[in-house]
Amino acid sequence: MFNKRLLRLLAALMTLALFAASCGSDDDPVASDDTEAPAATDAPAATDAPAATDAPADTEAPAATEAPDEGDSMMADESLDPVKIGLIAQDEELLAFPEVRAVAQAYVDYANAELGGIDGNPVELDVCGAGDAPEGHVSCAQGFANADDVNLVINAGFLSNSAAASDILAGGGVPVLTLGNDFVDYLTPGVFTIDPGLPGLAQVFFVYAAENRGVTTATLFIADDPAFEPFIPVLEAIAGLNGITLTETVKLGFEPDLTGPVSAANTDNEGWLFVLADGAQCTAAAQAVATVGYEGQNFANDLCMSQDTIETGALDGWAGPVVSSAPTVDGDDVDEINRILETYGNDDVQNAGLAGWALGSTQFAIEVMAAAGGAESTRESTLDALGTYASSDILGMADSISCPGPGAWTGACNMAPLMVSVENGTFTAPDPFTQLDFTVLDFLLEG
Amino acid sequence: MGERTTAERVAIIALAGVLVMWVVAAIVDPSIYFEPILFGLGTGAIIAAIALGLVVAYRASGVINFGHGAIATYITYVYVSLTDTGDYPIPPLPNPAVPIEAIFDIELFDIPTMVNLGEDMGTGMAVIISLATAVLIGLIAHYAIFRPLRYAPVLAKVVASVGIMLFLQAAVVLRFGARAKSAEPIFPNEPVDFLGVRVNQDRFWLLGTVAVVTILLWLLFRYTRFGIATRASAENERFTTLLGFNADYQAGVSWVMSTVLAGMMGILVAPVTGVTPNLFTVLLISSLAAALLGRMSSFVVAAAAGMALGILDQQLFRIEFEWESLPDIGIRRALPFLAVALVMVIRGEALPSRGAVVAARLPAAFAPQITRWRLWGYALLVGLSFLVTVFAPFQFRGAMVNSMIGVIFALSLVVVTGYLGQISLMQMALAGVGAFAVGSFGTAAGMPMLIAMPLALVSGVLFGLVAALPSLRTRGASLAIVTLASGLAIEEIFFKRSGWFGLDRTNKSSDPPEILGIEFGPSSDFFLGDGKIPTGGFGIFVLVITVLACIAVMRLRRSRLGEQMLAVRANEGAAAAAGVNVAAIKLTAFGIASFFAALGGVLTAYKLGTYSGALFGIFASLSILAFAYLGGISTVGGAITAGTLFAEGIGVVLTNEWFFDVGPYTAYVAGFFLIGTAVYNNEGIDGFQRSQFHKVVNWFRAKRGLGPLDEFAPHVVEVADV
Repeated sequence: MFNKRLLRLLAALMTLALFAASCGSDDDPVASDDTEAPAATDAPAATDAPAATDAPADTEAPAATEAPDEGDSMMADESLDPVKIGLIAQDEELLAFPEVRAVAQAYVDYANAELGGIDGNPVELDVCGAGDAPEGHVSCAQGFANADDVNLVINAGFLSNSAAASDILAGGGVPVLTLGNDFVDYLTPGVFTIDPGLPGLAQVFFVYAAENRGVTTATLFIADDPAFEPFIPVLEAIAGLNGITLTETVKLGFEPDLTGPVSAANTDNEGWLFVLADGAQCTAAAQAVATVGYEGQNFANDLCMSQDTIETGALDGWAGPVVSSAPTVDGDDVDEINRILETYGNDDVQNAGLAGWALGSTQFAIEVMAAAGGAESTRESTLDALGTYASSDILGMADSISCPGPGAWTGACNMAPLMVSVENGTFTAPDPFTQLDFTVLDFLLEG
Repeated sequence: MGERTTAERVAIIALAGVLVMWVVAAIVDPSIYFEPILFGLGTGAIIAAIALGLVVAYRASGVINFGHGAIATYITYVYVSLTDTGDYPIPPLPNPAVPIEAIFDIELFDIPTMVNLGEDMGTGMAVIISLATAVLIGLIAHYAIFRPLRYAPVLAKVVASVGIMLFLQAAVVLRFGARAKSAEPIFPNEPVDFLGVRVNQDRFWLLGTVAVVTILLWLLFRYTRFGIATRASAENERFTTLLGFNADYQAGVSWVMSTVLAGMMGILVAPVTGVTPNLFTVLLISSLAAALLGRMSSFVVAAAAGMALGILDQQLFRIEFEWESLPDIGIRRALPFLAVALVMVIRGEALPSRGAVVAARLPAAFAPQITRWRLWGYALLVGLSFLVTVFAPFQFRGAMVNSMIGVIFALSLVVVTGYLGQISLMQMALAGVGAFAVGSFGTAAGMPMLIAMPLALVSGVLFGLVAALPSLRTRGASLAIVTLASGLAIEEIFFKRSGWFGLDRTNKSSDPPEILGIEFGPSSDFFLGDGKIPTGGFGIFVLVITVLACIAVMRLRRSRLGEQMLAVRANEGAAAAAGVNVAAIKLTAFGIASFFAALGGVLTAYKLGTYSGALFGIFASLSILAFAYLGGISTVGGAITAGTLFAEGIGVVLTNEWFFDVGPYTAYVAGFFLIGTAVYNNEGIDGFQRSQFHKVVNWFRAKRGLGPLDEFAPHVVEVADV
């Protein structure tokens, strides 16, 4: 009765079982969930903790942000109930950001080991991994919306995945900290972000290009992708506000050789701005710029300036806006950020990509949960805390992070991106954070 | 060379006219019409190089290898890893000691993920090791996968190649991460001025390499004993075997050549563009077009077509850029594929099919007799689905919804592929039409669901019928490519732009379904269940539709129309001779399949609320086809099985919740099983379950002295039945 085919299937099923069971020990990023915080003795002295003594002005000073008395144990008490923070991590398929999970977990371990968690309660990062397709993100969001013990979720989904998840979370009354994928992330009640997003980054870029580099005319190179297309008129308008004329727009595809499209651009323009989708596209664009021999100012968005791309030196001399100083070699808080990541991070930790955003968002989340009552917090109290949040201590970020944002931009909690330059394959931060006024973007909401 | 048809003559004259105009324009305004030729060389050479590998693989075993780009990517990452750190990857492997380790909570084996071969490895050694890996992959591809499939239907080979794509892409992410990598240049890459245009010289080196490889391949296949024997095998394997040639050996060598070509191209191209896990898979589409223009057999034409596509892309870019008044409708991306579709339709049955000794059939379209017990079984299944959909913990409810929508997608393939025997790679594009249309009709135009949903379905059917017209002149692998091109054109022209069948801004939104003022979206209140989301109302809505869809397809199978479809599947010529209107049957089947695809798209729109075109791309269509095949592509039971396997479906969630969390290994395991099913279990999981069940029943009947039940004999419709 049991023929060869059946035996083959049984063997295959057994193989699957063995395989899947063995996968967990095989440098599985999921394993980072269970990363143990280093023993207290490994932790640096409490006095090395970041400038944590300034409690946010408008919040009740949370334990996590208070400087401990000398001799106090700074370890969170593992016997107390944990304060959970949800994280939707897009790291299971091709378009993946493994640094988000790794960096967020590293900061949580750091907070538990050196900051005493939240009021002594340990912080627990409840990670839900998802792939490229929205189904996983929706499933994660539904899980968090249904969970009684998760009152704040960091949504690290990308583009429409993020939107689908945020819809569910915000609809379920769960406060969300998200990436600035699109305007909806700033305008939806209950959704907040410390990512100024493309409008914010564009604004600081144009301010910088006009004031520091004397640019008055520029070419916009933008990814030929529907996620970027709607930003063309936005960028043109923001450029105009800052006295820069975008004389032309060149859409760059994902072909490996971009010399042709880049050669078509006007080399007389003083600046070229590249708003691209990823490092590979950026590499091809940088090669094309070198081939064409353009001698003006080159600028790029943060997705373009990925760590691997800048390390090749292809972007040396370029400048661009970033959310956090984490990827720089000389920005604010960089030493402390690197110490935390080196001490508590796993193999997936890096300080580029979304690492700065993930680190800042995790600290932001912990401070909000502390202000919302820690272990006693509810979704309502978390929303209230977000409604009055202000901090000058978010690592790698400007001194003034506050929620809600101005006017209709309620989710815009950070309006101060940082311009960085690329030198010798590394980011430097020669300029301070630039404070923006999001309300000047109100015209974007008309119609 | 056969007599050319009128359509071919017209096409050739039109093409010649365009070329003449181009030459004149290039003389008049070289910046717009000549420079793109030089700028297109780099991309064209890469497209051509991938196309050459595709042609070699097709010549080897009649496979359109969708995994070719993934093979190139894997080898390239191996090379980059070796040159960067000296690390050589060990693919994720099963650990035989897991049961013991689990019971005793010990670790017997710590399987490493990388082996360090020396940090200061030179480029030459890294290339050698990387290409040796390509040889190994080629041997495995041939001996473990495509050799057993040499007599299998085209569909099985397509599925196996999709499995390779998923498997290797996942292996890249698991071992090297998802970040872009860059490589040190191998060719000199300083810019040079050539005919007044500044171009990187590595493009010329690349072009030269492709030209040399093309000539070598041409010489090899034209003048050597090996090449002639391989060509002869492609025409008639039986005859070649009788002459004493070893077709198996020839195919194996060709596979190795194909994978080495893939790896070599990746290594040479990586310094130009860097490499991401899906870069070469994306480029594969253009290369496929080039290879098809060479009828998957001519190296010279495929390479020239690859170059031409690269140049055409640059030319179209330049025209769009200079002529600002031209509307941006995505024609630059879509035109090459529309051209391919047109060429293939004009040519008709263009792709040479491999003349195998025997040809296997598609899986049997089993039609069970409706007995009382079976009805009870169906009722039990529906009842159980209802209970899970409404009362199970929320993660299982969501998974059930995902699975039921997956069932509907799979049903669309049961109709068009399982019953009609036509391979369609555009089903998710049609689903996208439904999803985008329901957002436009319902949310944007404010129409009630009872109007918006039917309009969206009609839209899907109309798109499907137009895209199905080529099926009247072509089938098999050719039709697969034509439908793939159609799907890609729909994606480029509609889903990536704002518009009625496109985006609102960066996404598309759809309000939850509502009838008579009662809303029953995934987050809407519902009086049954625990109140957590997704609530049971949406699940019941999807369940009702899924059950009706299953009943409809089961009835279709038993109807005269269904039997005519199967007759067309069995033999179009014989069916026509028997009085079947083949064209009408094909269009009807495509229309029905489009309806189900659009229905799945509409339900997806309601489920997600916010979505984009990325969900409905051609690789999604490939995955859907592969999973439908894995479940069993010729039966409703197979569609139901396939549904459980879909992304975040009930099978996946049950496994994750109750047994082990496969997590990031999902695509890796899925690829492995797709390959396994294509190779060793042509009937899919459903067919396997059915045959085992039949054996058990008949064993018991034999014990009782009864003969086997007639209904358990495979029910295959022959033309004579119609």
